[in-house]
Amino acid sequence: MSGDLTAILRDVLIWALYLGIFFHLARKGRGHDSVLGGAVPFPVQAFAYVATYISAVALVGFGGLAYIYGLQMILVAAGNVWLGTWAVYRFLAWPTRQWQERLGARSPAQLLGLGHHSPLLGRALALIFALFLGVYASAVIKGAAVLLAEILPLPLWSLIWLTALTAGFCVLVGGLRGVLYTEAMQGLVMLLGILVIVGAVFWRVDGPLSGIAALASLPPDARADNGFAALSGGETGWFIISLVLVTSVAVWAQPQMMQRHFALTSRDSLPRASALAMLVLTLLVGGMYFASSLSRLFLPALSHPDEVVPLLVRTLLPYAGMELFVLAVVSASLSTATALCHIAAVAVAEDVPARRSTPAAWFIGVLFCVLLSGACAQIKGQLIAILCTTSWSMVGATALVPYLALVLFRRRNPAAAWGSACLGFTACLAWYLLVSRSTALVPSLLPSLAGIPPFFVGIAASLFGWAAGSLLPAPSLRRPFRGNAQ
Amino acid sequence: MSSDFLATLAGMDALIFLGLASLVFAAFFSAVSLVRNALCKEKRS
Repeated sequence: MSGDLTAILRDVLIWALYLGIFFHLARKGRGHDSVLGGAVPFPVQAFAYVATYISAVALVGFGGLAYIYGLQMILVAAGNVWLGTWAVYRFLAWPTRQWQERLGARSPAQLLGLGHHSPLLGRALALIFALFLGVYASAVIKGAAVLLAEILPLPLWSLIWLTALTAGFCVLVGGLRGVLYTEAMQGLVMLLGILVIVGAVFWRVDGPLSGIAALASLPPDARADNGFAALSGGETGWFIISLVLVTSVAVWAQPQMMQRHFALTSRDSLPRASALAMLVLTLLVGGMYFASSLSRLFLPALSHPDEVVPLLVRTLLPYAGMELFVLAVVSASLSTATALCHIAAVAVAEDVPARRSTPAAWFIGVLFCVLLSGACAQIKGQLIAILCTTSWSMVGATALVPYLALVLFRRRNPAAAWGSACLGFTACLAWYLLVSRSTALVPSLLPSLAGIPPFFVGIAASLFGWAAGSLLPAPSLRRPFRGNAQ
Repeated sequence: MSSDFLATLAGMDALIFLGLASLVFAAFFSAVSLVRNALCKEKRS
Protein backbone atom coordinates (compact mmCIF):
# COMPACT_ATOMS: atom_id res chain seq x y z
CA MET A 1 0.00 0.00 0.00
CA SER A 2 2.81 2.39 0.94
CA GLY A 3 4.57 1.28 -2.27
CA ASP A 4 1.49 2.31 -4.30
CA LEU A 5 1.39 5.64 -2.52
CA THR A 6 5.08 6.23 -3.23
CA ALA A 7 4.55 5.42 -6.90
CA ILE A 8 1.57 7.80 -7.10
CA LEU A 9 3.51 10.55 -5.36
CA ARG A 10 6.46 10.00 -7.70
CA ASP A 11 4.16 10.20 -10.76
CA VAL A 12 2.56 13.38 -9.45
CA LEU A 13 6.00 14.88 -8.79
CA ILE A 14 7.30 14.00 -12.26
CA TRP A 15 4.24 15.43 -14.04
CA ALA A 16 4.18 18.52 -11.80
CA LEU A 17 7.84 19.13 -12.64
CA TYR A 18 7.20 18.59 -16.37
CA LEU A 19 4.20 20.92 -16.43
CA GLY A 20 5.98 23.45 -14.20
CA ILE A 21 8.90 23.69 -16.66
CA PHE A 22 6.45 23.75 -19.58
CA PHE A 23 4.45 26.68 -18.22
CA HIS A 24 7.61 28.49 -17.11
CA LEU A 25 9.03 28.25 -20.64
CA ALA A 26 5.69 29.23 -22.21
CA ARG A 27 5.89 32.50 -20.26
CA LYS A 28 9.19 33.32 -21.97
CA GLY A 29 7.10 34.73 -24.79
CA ARG A 30 5.38 37.33 -22.62
CA GLY A 31 6.11 40.84 -23.83
CA HIS A 32 7.10 39.55 -27.27
CA ASP A 33 5.10 39.59 -30.48
CA SER A 34 2.80 36.55 -30.38
CA VAL A 35 3.06 35.95 -34.12
CA LEU A 36 6.76 36.46 -34.81
CA GLY A 37 8.37 35.97 -31.41
CA GLY A 38 11.83 37.26 -32.34
CA ALA A 39 15.07 35.37 -32.89
CA VAL A 40 15.98 32.47 -30.60
CA PRO A 41 19.36 30.80 -29.86
CA PHE A 42 20.38 27.97 -32.18
CA PRO A 43 19.78 25.07 -29.72
CA VAL A 44 16.19 26.25 -29.23
CA GLN A 45 15.76 26.64 -33.00
CA ALA A 46 17.14 23.14 -33.68
CA PHE A 47 15.24 21.27 -30.96
CA ALA A 48 12.03 23.15 -31.82
CA TYR A 49 12.38 22.22 -35.51
CA VAL A 50 12.76 18.54 -34.64
CA ALA A 51 9.98 18.56 -32.04
CA THR A 52 7.57 20.16 -34.53
CA TYR A 53 8.60 17.72 -37.28
CA ILE A 54 8.29 14.56 -35.20
CA SER A 55 4.89 13.82 -33.72
CA ALA A 56 3.75 10.73 -31.85
CA VAL A 57 2.59 9.36 -35.21
CA ALA A 58 6.21 9.29 -36.36
CA LEU A 59 7.47 7.66 -33.17
CA VAL A 60 4.70 5.18 -32.37
CA GLY A 61 2.95 4.71 -35.75
CA PHE A 62 6.04 4.58 -37.94
CA GLY A 63 7.89 2.67 -35.22
CA GLY A 64 5.21 0.00 -35.64
CA LEU A 65 5.70 0.07 -39.41
CA ALA A 66 9.42 -0.58 -38.84
CA TYR A 67 8.49 -3.81 -37.04
CA ILE A 68 6.42 -4.85 -40.06
CA TYR A 69 8.71 -3.69 -42.89
CA GLY A 70 12.07 -4.17 -41.14
CA LEU A 71 15.09 -2.01 -41.98
CA GLN A 72 13.30 -0.54 -45.02
CA MET A 73 12.02 2.16 -42.66
CA ILE A 74 15.62 3.32 -42.19
CA LEU A 75 15.20 4.93 -45.62
CA VAL A 76 12.40 7.09 -44.19
CA ALA A 77 14.70 8.20 -41.35
CA ALA A 78 17.51 8.96 -43.79
CA GLY A 79 15.10 10.95 -45.97
CA ASN A 80 13.89 12.95 -42.95
CA VAL A 81 17.48 13.75 -41.93
CA TRP A 82 18.91 14.64 -45.35
CA LEU A 83 15.91 15.95 -47.33
CA GLY A 84 13.74 17.09 -44.45
CA THR A 85 16.46 18.78 -42.42
CA TRP A 86 19.83 19.19 -44.14
CA ALA A 87 18.34 20.36 -47.46
CA VAL A 88 15.90 22.66 -45.65
CA TYR A 89 18.65 24.43 -43.68
CA ARG A 90 21.00 24.45 -46.68
CA PHE A 91 18.61 25.84 -49.30
CA LEU A 92 15.36 27.13 -47.77
CA ALA A 93 15.69 28.38 -44.20
CA TRP A 94 17.76 31.52 -44.72
CA PRO A 95 16.11 32.62 -48.01
CA THR A 96 12.74 32.23 -46.23
CA ARG A 97 13.97 34.43 -43.37
CA GLN A 98 15.23 37.06 -45.83
CA TRP A 99 12.03 37.13 -47.88
CA GLN A 100 10.01 37.38 -44.68
CA GLU A 101 12.04 40.39 -43.57
CA ARG A 102 12.00 41.98 -47.01
CA LEU A 103 8.24 41.63 -47.44
CA GLY A 104 7.37 42.41 -43.83
CA ALA A 105 5.47 39.10 -43.66
CA ARG A 106 4.48 37.85 -40.24
CA SER A 107 3.26 34.37 -41.18
CA PRO A 108 3.81 31.80 -43.95
CA ALA A 109 0.44 32.68 -45.54
CA GLN A 110 1.42 36.37 -45.65
CA LEU A 111 4.85 35.42 -47.04
CA LEU A 112 3.27 33.61 -49.99
CA GLY A 113 0.54 36.21 -50.51
CA LEU A 114 2.84 39.23 -50.41
CA GLY A 115 5.60 37.34 -52.23
CA HIS A 116 3.33 36.67 -55.19
CA HIS A 117 1.71 40.14 -55.13
CA SER A 118 -1.64 38.66 -54.12
CA PRO A 119 -2.78 39.26 -50.54
CA LEU A 120 -5.97 37.36 -51.43
CA LEU A 121 -3.86 34.25 -52.12
CA GLY A 122 -2.41 34.65 -48.61
CA ARG A 123 -5.91 34.79 -47.14
CA ALA A 124 -7.03 31.72 -49.10
CA LEU A 125 -3.96 29.79 -47.98
CA ALA A 126 -4.55 30.91 -44.38
CA LEU A 127 -8.07 29.44 -44.54
CA ILE A 128 -6.70 26.11 -45.78
CA PHE A 129 -3.99 26.11 -43.10
CA ALA A 130 -6.50 26.93 -40.34
CA LEU A 131 -8.93 24.21 -41.40
CA PHE A 132 -6.52 21.38 -42.20
CA LEU A 133 -3.96 22.05 -39.48
CA GLY A 134 -6.62 22.81 -36.85
CA VAL A 135 -8.27 19.46 -37.56
CA TYR A 136 -4.91 17.70 -37.83
CA ALA A 137 -4.10 19.07 -34.36
CA SER A 138 -7.13 17.09 -33.11
CA ALA A 139 -5.46 13.81 -34.15
CA VAL A 140 -2.26 14.83 -32.40
CA ILE A 141 -4.14 15.88 -29.25
CA LYS A 142 -6.16 12.68 -29.21
CA GLY A 143 -2.95 10.65 -29.53
CA ALA A 144 -1.54 12.33 -26.42
CA ALA A 145 -4.83 11.91 -24.54
CA VAL A 146 -5.07 8.19 -25.38
CA LEU A 147 -1.56 7.69 -24.05
CA LEU A 148 -2.27 9.71 -20.91
CA ALA A 149 -5.39 7.59 -20.33
CA GLU A 150 -3.05 4.61 -19.85
CA ILE A 151 -1.53 6.18 -16.76
CA LEU A 152 -4.10 8.72 -15.48
CA PRO A 153 -7.47 7.58 -14.04
CA LEU A 154 -9.51 10.15 -15.97
CA PRO A 155 -12.03 9.72 -18.82
CA LEU A 156 -10.65 10.19 -22.35
CA TRP A 157 -12.89 13.17 -23.16
CA SER A 158 -11.52 15.12 -20.19
CA LEU A 159 -7.91 14.29 -21.13
CA ILE A 160 -8.57 15.51 -24.69
CA TRP A 161 -9.81 18.88 -23.39
CA LEU A 162 -6.96 19.04 -20.86
CA THR A 163 -4.38 18.51 -23.63
CA ALA A 164 -6.09 20.97 -26.00
CA LEU A 165 -6.28 23.60 -23.24
CA THR A 166 -2.61 23.06 -22.31
CA ALA A 167 -1.55 23.59 -25.93
CA GLY A 168 -3.88 26.59 -26.21
CA PHE A 169 -2.56 28.14 -23.00
CA CYS A 170 1.02 27.89 -24.25
CA VAL A 171 0.10 29.58 -27.56
CA LEU A 172 -2.05 32.24 -25.87
CA VAL A 173 0.50 33.24 -23.24
CA GLY A 174 3.77 32.63 -25.02
CA GLY A 175 3.00 33.14 -28.70
CA LEU A 176 5.64 31.81 -31.09
CA ARG A 177 8.50 32.40 -28.65
CA GLY A 178 6.80 30.45 -25.86
CA VAL A 179 5.97 27.67 -28.32
CA LEU A 180 9.60 27.45 -29.50
CA TYR A 181 11.01 27.27 -25.97
CA THR A 182 8.52 24.63 -24.81
CA GLU A 183 9.18 22.64 -27.98
CA ALA A 184 12.90 22.74 -27.29
CA MET A 185 12.32 21.30 -23.81
CA GLN A 186 10.01 18.65 -25.27
CA GLY A 187 12.56 17.77 -27.95
CA LEU A 188 15.08 17.08 -25.19
CA VAL A 189 12.60 14.85 -23.33
CA MET A 190 11.86 12.98 -26.59
CA LEU A 191 15.56 12.42 -27.15
CA LEU A 192 16.07 10.99 -23.64
CA GLY A 193 13.03 8.71 -23.93
CA ILE A 194 14.09 7.32 -27.31
CA LEU A 195 17.70 6.79 -26.24
CA VAL A 196 16.49 4.69 -23.31
CA ILE A 197 14.42 2.36 -25.51
CA VAL A 198 17.12 2.14 -28.19
CA GLY A 199 19.72 1.23 -25.54
CA ALA A 200 17.41 -1.44 -24.12
CA VAL A 201 16.82 -2.98 -27.58
CA PHE A 202 20.57 -3.03 -28.38
CA TRP A 203 21.23 -4.71 -25.05
CA ARG A 204 18.51 -7.29 -25.77
CA VAL A 205 19.86 -8.22 -29.23
CA ASP A 206 23.57 -8.16 -28.24
CA GLY A 207 24.37 -4.98 -30.12
CA PRO A 208 23.29 -3.44 -33.42
CA LEU A 209 25.51 -5.52 -35.71
CA SER A 210 24.41 -8.91 -34.41
CA GLY A 211 20.86 -7.54 -34.49
CA ILE A 212 21.16 -6.68 -38.19
CA ALA A 213 22.70 -10.08 -38.93
CA ALA A 214 19.86 -11.87 -37.12
CA LEU A 215 17.23 -9.72 -38.85
CA ALA A 216 18.79 -10.35 -42.28
CA SER A 217 18.58 -14.09 -41.67
CA LEU A 218 14.82 -14.07 -40.95
CA PRO A 219 12.68 -15.60 -43.71
CA PRO A 220 10.87 -13.05 -45.93
CA ASP A 221 7.14 -12.50 -45.56
CA ALA A 222 4.40 -10.82 -47.61
CA ARG A 223 5.32 -7.26 -46.56
CA ALA A 224 9.08 -7.77 -46.67
CA ASP A 225 9.32 -10.06 -49.69
CA ASN A 226 13.10 -9.64 -50.03
CA GLY A 227 13.75 -10.10 -46.31
CA PHE A 228 13.90 -7.60 -43.45
CA ALA A 229 17.21 -6.03 -44.46
CA ALA A 230 16.27 -5.29 -48.08
CA LEU A 231 13.86 -3.06 -49.96
CA SER A 232 10.76 -4.98 -51.02
CA GLY A 233 9.77 -5.29 -54.64
CA GLY A 234 6.56 -4.09 -56.27
CA GLU A 235 3.92 -2.11 -54.44
CA THR A 236 5.50 -2.42 -50.98
CA GLY A 237 8.82 -1.04 -52.20
CA TRP A 238 7.02 1.90 -53.83
CA PHE A 239 5.04 2.46 -50.64
CA ILE A 240 8.31 2.85 -48.73
CA ILE A 241 9.77 5.21 -51.35
CA SER A 242 6.59 7.29 -51.35
CA LEU A 243 6.70 7.45 -47.54
CA VAL A 244 10.26 8.78 -47.77
CA LEU A 245 9.25 11.53 -50.19
CA VAL A 246 5.96 12.51 -48.57
CA THR A 247 7.46 12.81 -45.09
CA SER A 248 10.70 14.46 -46.25
CA VAL A 249 9.59 16.76 -49.08
CA ALA A 250 6.02 17.76 -48.13
CA VAL A 251 7.51 19.05 -44.88
CA TRP A 252 9.29 21.85 -46.78
CA ALA A 253 6.03 23.73 -47.29
CA GLN A 254 4.28 22.99 -43.99
CA PRO A 255 3.60 26.47 -42.55
CA GLN A 256 4.50 25.43 -39.01
CA MET A 257 7.99 24.52 -40.29
CA MET A 258 8.35 27.69 -42.39
CA GLN A 259 7.46 29.79 -39.35
CA ARG A 260 10.46 28.33 -37.49
CA HIS A 261 12.78 29.89 -40.09
CA PHE A 262 11.40 33.31 -39.13
CA ALA A 263 13.12 32.89 -35.73
CA LEU A 264 16.64 32.42 -37.15
CA THR A 265 19.14 34.78 -35.54
CA SER A 266 21.64 35.15 -38.39
CA ARG A 267 23.12 33.29 -41.30
CA ASP A 268 26.03 32.31 -39.04
CA SER A 269 23.68 30.35 -36.79
CA LEU A 270 22.52 28.12 -39.68
CA PRO A 271 25.34 25.52 -39.67
CA ARG A 272 25.01 25.03 -35.92
CA ALA A 273 21.21 24.82 -35.97
CA SER A 274 21.36 22.45 -38.94
CA ALA A 275 24.01 20.19 -37.36
CA LEU A 276 22.17 19.95 -34.05
CA ALA A 277 18.80 19.31 -35.70
CA MET A 278 20.33 16.57 -37.88
CA LEU A 279 22.03 14.93 -34.90
CA VAL A 280 18.86 14.94 -32.78
CA LEU A 281 16.67 13.75 -35.66
CA THR A 282 19.12 10.95 -36.51
CA LEU A 283 19.06 9.70 -32.94
CA LEU A 284 15.29 10.10 -32.66
CA VAL A 285 13.88 8.64 -35.86
CA GLY A 286 16.92 6.62 -36.91
CA GLY A 287 17.14 5.13 -33.42
CA MET A 288 13.41 4.49 -33.09
CA TYR A 289 12.98 2.82 -36.50
CA PHE A 290 16.16 0.79 -36.10
CA ALA A 291 15.15 -0.39 -32.63
CA SER A 292 11.60 -1.21 -33.76
CA SER A 293 12.94 -3.22 -36.73
CA LEU A 294 15.11 -5.25 -34.37
CA SER A 295 12.16 -5.80 -32.01
CA ARG A 296 10.87 -8.43 -34.49
CA LEU A 297 13.64 -10.66 -33.16
CA PHE A 298 12.08 -11.02 -29.72
CA LEU A 299 8.49 -9.71 -29.75
CA PRO A 300 5.61 -12.10 -30.50
CA ALA A 301 3.81 -11.83 -33.87
CA LEU A 302 1.66 -8.69 -33.88
CA SER A 303 -0.98 -7.84 -36.46
CA HIS A 304 -1.41 -4.11 -35.88
CA PRO A 305 1.55 -1.68 -36.09
CA ASP A 306 0.19 0.54 -33.28
CA GLU A 307 0.59 -2.36 -30.81
CA VAL A 308 4.35 -2.66 -31.37
CA VAL A 309 5.92 0.27 -29.54
CA PRO A 310 3.73 0.06 -26.39
CA LEU A 311 4.50 -3.69 -26.15
CA LEU A 312 8.19 -3.05 -26.77
CA VAL A 313 8.28 -0.50 -23.96
CA ARG A 314 6.36 -2.77 -21.57
CA THR A 315 8.62 -5.72 -22.40
CA LEU A 316 11.98 -4.03 -22.00
CA LEU A 317 11.75 -1.05 -19.67
CA PRO A 318 11.25 -0.85 -15.92
CA TYR A 319 8.50 1.45 -14.64
CA ALA A 320 10.75 4.52 -14.53
CA GLY A 321 11.79 3.91 -18.15
CA MET A 322 8.15 3.52 -19.19
CA GLU A 323 7.35 6.79 -17.46
CA LEU A 324 10.14 8.53 -19.37
CA PHE A 325 8.93 7.04 -22.65
CA VAL A 326 5.34 8.17 -22.00
CA LEU A 327 6.70 11.66 -21.28
CA ALA A 328 8.62 11.51 -24.57
CA VAL A 329 5.57 10.53 -26.62
CA VAL A 330 3.32 13.08 -24.88
CA SER A 331 6.04 15.68 -25.59
CA ALA A 332 6.08 14.66 -29.26
CA SER A 333 2.30 15.16 -29.47
CA LEU A 334 2.12 18.34 -27.43
CA SER A 335 4.97 20.04 -29.31
CA THR A 336 3.34 19.34 -32.67
CA ALA A 337 -0.05 20.41 -31.28
CA THR A 338 1.27 23.79 -30.06
CA ALA A 339 2.96 24.43 -33.42
CA LEU A 340 -0.25 23.61 -35.33
CA CYS A 341 -2.39 25.60 -32.91
CA HIS A 342 -0.09 28.62 -33.35
CA ILE A 343 -0.41 28.53 -37.16
CA ALA A 344 -4.21 28.10 -36.99
CA ALA A 345 -4.47 30.96 -34.45
CA VAL A 346 -2.35 33.27 -36.65
CA ALA A 347 -4.56 32.42 -39.63
CA VAL A 348 -7.75 33.29 -37.73
CA ALA A 349 -6.43 36.28 -35.79
CA GLU A 350 -4.38 37.98 -38.48
CA ASP A 351 -4.15 36.35 -41.92
CA VAL A 352 -7.82 35.98 -42.81
CA PRO A 353 -8.96 39.41 -41.50
CA ALA A 354 -5.82 40.87 -43.15
CA ARG A 355 -4.98 43.15 -40.25
CA ARG A 356 -2.49 42.97 -37.42
CA SER A 357 -3.84 40.94 -34.51
CA THR A 358 -4.95 42.58 -31.26
CA PRO A 359 -4.88 40.72 -27.91
CA ALA A 360 -8.64 40.11 -28.30
CA ALA A 361 -8.21 38.74 -31.84
CA TRP A 362 -5.33 36.55 -30.64
CA PHE A 363 -7.55 35.15 -27.87
CA ILE A 364 -10.29 34.39 -30.41
CA GLY A 365 -7.77 32.73 -32.75
CA VAL A 366 -6.45 30.46 -29.98
CA LEU A 367 -9.97 29.72 -28.74
CA PHE A 368 -11.00 28.74 -32.30
CA CYS A 369 -8.12 26.30 -32.50
CA VAL A 370 -8.72 24.79 -29.05
CA LEU A 371 -12.46 24.34 -29.72
CA LEU A 372 -11.94 22.98 -33.26
CA SER A 373 -9.22 20.51 -32.33
CA GLY A 374 -10.81 19.51 -29.00
CA ALA A 375 -14.26 19.00 -30.56
CA CYS A 376 -12.92 17.13 -33.60
CA ALA A 377 -10.92 14.85 -31.30
CA GLN A 378 -14.18 13.86 -29.55
CA ILE A 379 -15.95 12.93 -32.78
CA LYS A 380 -15.42 9.72 -34.74
CA GLY A 381 -16.42 11.10 -38.13
CA GLN A 382 -15.26 9.99 -41.55
CA LEU A 383 -14.75 13.57 -42.72
CA ILE A 384 -12.50 14.32 -39.75
CA ALA A 385 -10.56 11.11 -40.27
CA ILE A 386 -10.03 12.09 -43.93
CA LEU A 387 -8.94 15.62 -43.00
CA CYS A 388 -6.44 14.22 -40.48
CA THR A 389 -5.02 11.67 -42.90
CA THR A 390 -4.78 14.09 -45.77
CA SER A 391 -3.68 17.36 -44.18
CA TRP A 392 0.09 16.90 -44.52
CA SER A 393 -0.16 16.08 -48.26
CA MET A 394 -2.92 18.61 -48.96
CA VAL A 395 -1.02 21.52 -47.44
CA GLY A 396 2.19 20.38 -49.14
CA ALA A 397 0.57 19.99 -52.57
CA THR A 398 -1.06 23.44 -52.26
CA ALA A 399 1.86 25.49 -50.98
CA LEU A 400 5.09 23.75 -52.06
CA VAL A 401 5.37 25.01 -55.65
CA PRO A 402 4.51 28.69 -54.93
CA TYR A 403 6.86 28.56 -51.91
CA LEU A 404 9.83 27.08 -53.79
CA ALA A 405 9.21 29.40 -56.74
CA LEU A 406 9.47 32.37 -54.39
CA VAL A 407 12.32 31.52 -52.03
CA LEU A 408 14.43 29.27 -54.23
CA PHE A 409 13.89 30.59 -57.76
CA ARG A 410 12.84 34.16 -56.88
CA ARG A 411 9.82 33.95 -59.17
CA ARG A 412 6.90 36.20 -58.22
CA ASN A 413 3.80 35.65 -60.32
CA PRO A 414 0.24 35.95 -58.96
CA ALA A 415 -1.46 34.07 -61.80
CA ALA A 416 1.06 31.22 -61.67
CA ALA A 417 0.86 31.05 -57.87
CA TRP A 418 -2.95 30.92 -57.95
CA GLY A 419 -2.93 28.30 -60.72
CA SER A 420 -0.43 26.17 -58.89
CA ALA A 421 -2.13 26.40 -55.47
CA CYS A 422 -5.63 25.75 -56.87
CA LEU A 423 -4.65 22.82 -59.10
CA GLY A 424 -2.39 21.30 -56.42
CA PHE A 425 -5.19 21.47 -53.83
CA THR A 426 -7.94 20.22 -56.15
CA ALA A 427 -5.95 17.38 -57.70
CA CYS A 428 -4.67 16.12 -54.35
CA LEU A 429 -8.16 16.25 -52.78
CA ALA A 430 -9.79 14.61 -55.80
CA TRP A 431 -7.19 11.83 -55.79
CA TYR A 432 -7.84 11.19 -52.08
CA LEU A 433 -11.63 11.14 -52.46
CA LEU A 434 -12.01 9.37 -55.80
CA VAL A 435 -8.92 7.26 -56.51
CA SER A 436 -6.71 6.50 -53.52
CA ARG A 437 -7.37 2.99 -52.21
CA SER A 438 -7.42 3.78 -48.48
CA THR A 439 -9.45 7.03 -48.53
CA ALA A 440 -11.72 6.97 -51.61
CA LEU A 441 -15.39 7.56 -50.74
CA VAL A 442 -16.49 5.62 -53.83
CA PRO A 443 -14.98 2.57 -55.56
CA SER A 444 -11.70 3.84 -57.01
CA LEU A 445 -12.25 5.48 -60.41
CA LEU A 446 -8.75 4.44 -61.57
CA PRO A 447 -8.00 1.16 -59.75
CA SER A 448 -4.74 0.59 -61.63
CA LEU A 449 -3.39 3.96 -60.42
CA ALA A 450 -4.83 3.79 -56.90
CA GLY A 451 -1.41 3.13 -55.37
CA ILE A 452 0.05 6.49 -56.51
CA PRO A 453 0.29 8.81 -53.48
CA PRO A 454 -2.04 11.86 -53.77
CA PHE A 455 0.86 14.16 -52.86
CA PHE A 456 2.66 13.23 -56.10
CA VAL A 457 -0.49 13.84 -58.15
CA GLY A 458 -1.02 17.17 -56.37
CA ILE A 459 2.55 18.30 -57.03
CA ALA A 460 2.36 17.30 -60.71
CA ALA A 461 -0.90 19.27 -61.06
CA SER A 462 0.58 22.19 -59.12
CA LEU A 463 3.57 22.35 -61.47
CA PHE A 464 1.19 22.28 -64.43
CA GLY A 465 -0.84 25.07 -62.80
CA TRP A 466 2.31 27.15 -62.35
CA ALA A 467 3.31 26.64 -66.00
CA ALA A 468 -0.21 27.47 -67.23
CA GLY A 469 -0.44 30.54 -65.00
CA SER A 470 2.94 31.75 -66.22
CA LEU A 471 1.61 31.83 -69.76
CA LEU A 472 -1.18 34.25 -68.85
CA PRO A 473 -0.45 37.94 -69.35
CA ALA A 474 -0.09 38.57 -65.63
CA PRO A 475 2.45 40.97 -64.15
CA SER A 476 5.42 38.67 -63.71
CA LEU A 477 8.32 40.07 -61.74
CA ARG A 478 11.70 38.54 -61.41
CA ARG A 479 13.56 41.12 -59.43
CA PRO A 480 17.05 40.16 -58.35
CA PHE A 481 17.23 39.91 -54.59
CA ARG A 482 20.85 40.31 -53.76
CA GLY A 483 20.55 39.32 -50.12
CA ASN A 484 19.00 36.02 -51.14
CA ALA A 485 22.01 34.66 -53.00
CA GLN A 486 23.13 31.19 -51.91
CA MET B 1 34.71 -9.38 -35.37
CA SER B 2 35.66 -8.14 -38.86
CA SER B 3 34.27 -11.32 -40.48
CA ASP B 4 31.04 -10.88 -38.48
CA PHE B 5 30.85 -7.32 -39.69
CA LEU B 6 31.37 -8.34 -43.32
CA ALA B 7 28.79 -11.10 -43.00
CA THR B 8 26.34 -8.55 -41.63
CA LEU B 9 26.97 -6.22 -44.55
CA ALA B 10 26.66 -9.07 -47.03
CA GLY B 11 23.17 -9.82 -45.70
CA MET B 12 21.98 -6.30 -46.44
CA ASP B 13 20.53 -4.74 -49.53
CA ALA B 14 22.76 -1.96 -50.96
CA LEU B 15 20.05 0.68 -50.61
CA ILE B 16 19.39 -0.14 -46.95
CA PHE B 17 23.13 -0.16 -46.31
CA LEU B 18 23.37 3.30 -47.88
CA GLY B 19 20.48 4.52 -45.73
CA LEU B 20 22.11 3.25 -42.54
CA ALA B 21 25.53 4.56 -43.57
CA SER B 22 24.06 7.98 -44.36
CA LEU B 23 22.50 8.12 -40.88
CA VAL B 24 25.80 7.20 -39.22
CA PHE B 25 27.54 9.80 -41.37
CA ALA B 26 24.88 12.42 -40.50
CA ALA B 27 25.37 11.82 -36.78
CA PHE B 28 29.16 11.91 -37.08
CA PHE B 29 29.24 14.94 -39.40
CA SER B 30 26.81 16.85 -37.17
CA ALA B 31 28.67 16.06 -33.96
CA VAL B 32 32.02 17.08 -35.50
CA SER B 33 30.48 20.26 -36.91
CA LEU B 34 29.03 21.21 -33.51
CA VAL B 35 32.34 20.61 -31.72
CA ARG B 36 34.28 22.56 -34.38
CA ASN B 37 31.85 25.47 -34.10
CA ALA B 38 32.10 25.47 -30.32
CA LEU B 39 35.91 25.45 -30.47
CA CYS B 40 35.99 28.28 -33.04
CA LYS B 41 33.64 30.34 -30.89
CA GLU B 42 35.84 29.77 -27.85
CA LYS B 43 38.94 30.78 -29.81
CA ARG B 44 37.27 33.98 -31.02
CA SER B 45 36.17 34.95 -27.52
